[in-house]
Amino acid sequence: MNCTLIQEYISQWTDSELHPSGEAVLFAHLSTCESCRTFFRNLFTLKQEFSSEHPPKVPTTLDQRILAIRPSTIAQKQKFPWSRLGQTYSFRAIGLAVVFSILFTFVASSFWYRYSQPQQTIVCLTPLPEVEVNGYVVVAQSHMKGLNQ
Amino acid sequence: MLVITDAELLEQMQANDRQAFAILYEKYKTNIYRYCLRMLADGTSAEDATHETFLKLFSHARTLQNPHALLAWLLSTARNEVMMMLRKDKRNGTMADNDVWMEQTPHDLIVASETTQLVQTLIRQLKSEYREVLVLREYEHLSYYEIALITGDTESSVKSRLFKARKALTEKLKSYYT
Repeated sequence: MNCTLIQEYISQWTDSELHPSGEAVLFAHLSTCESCRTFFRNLFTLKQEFSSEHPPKVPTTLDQRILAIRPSTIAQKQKFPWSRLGQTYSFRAIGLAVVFSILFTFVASSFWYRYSQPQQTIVCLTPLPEVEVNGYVVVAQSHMKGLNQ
Repeated sequence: MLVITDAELLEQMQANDRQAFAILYEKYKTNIYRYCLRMLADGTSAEDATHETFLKLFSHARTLQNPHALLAWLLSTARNEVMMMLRKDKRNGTMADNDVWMEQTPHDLIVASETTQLVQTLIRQLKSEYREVLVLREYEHLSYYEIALITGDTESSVKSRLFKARKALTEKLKSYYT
């Protein structure tokens, strides 16, 4: 049996989260594997270290700060919701985002203006003249709609 | 003896009963402060995160979905605060590099003499993804299911991270245990 898997079982067993079927596999392996037994012992000692620790004392200054919370404190926070923006993202990132969004708006609006406008149609009432070159009649072509009509 | 449930206290809070808020704070302050302190390893930041958490409790008391799981809600809120603070700390690295430690050879280890102190130092050196599951399990005694709810991960991810964190810790402490 894979020792890594067994050690994962040990970790779950110490939390009482191992399935009974895994428990049988675990103890069968432990009876034969010295390195897994060592891991078991060390993990047990580590868990004792955790449980022997005293919880940290909550500072009285914090008690005073929290017990002084009033509805006005909340209203103040809600009035200026952007005041915490700088805590989440750095101001440099916010500045860059603003600059990029302005640039994007400018480029997008110029493209929109360029391509969304209808094509101008120039109507020429006078047809272009036909020219004779080496016996062929050449009709002047134009990309302008209605020019040769 | 009269026992008042969290749901009742929250109801009283909605009626602007400040005493109810004080009782809830007294009940959960150690859990939240301890979690923040273990995660941030800095007293002032832990105080700020705890303050923000209880501020949110004060403002969201009316809209809490499940008042029977208040500790889980508080821990989840505290976690958001903690993660927001840790995001600013570039030392944490990414989970993709598959390494449990933030720094390979912490200098503090050489200085720490007592095992308990050493364990504390080592926990601080763990990456936040590993540290949080360890703290929630070992100090808050939450089940894998509850940890998964708070962290927004799957139970198997919690199991795996918890194992990796413990394995890494026991490896470092091996010489002290023999």
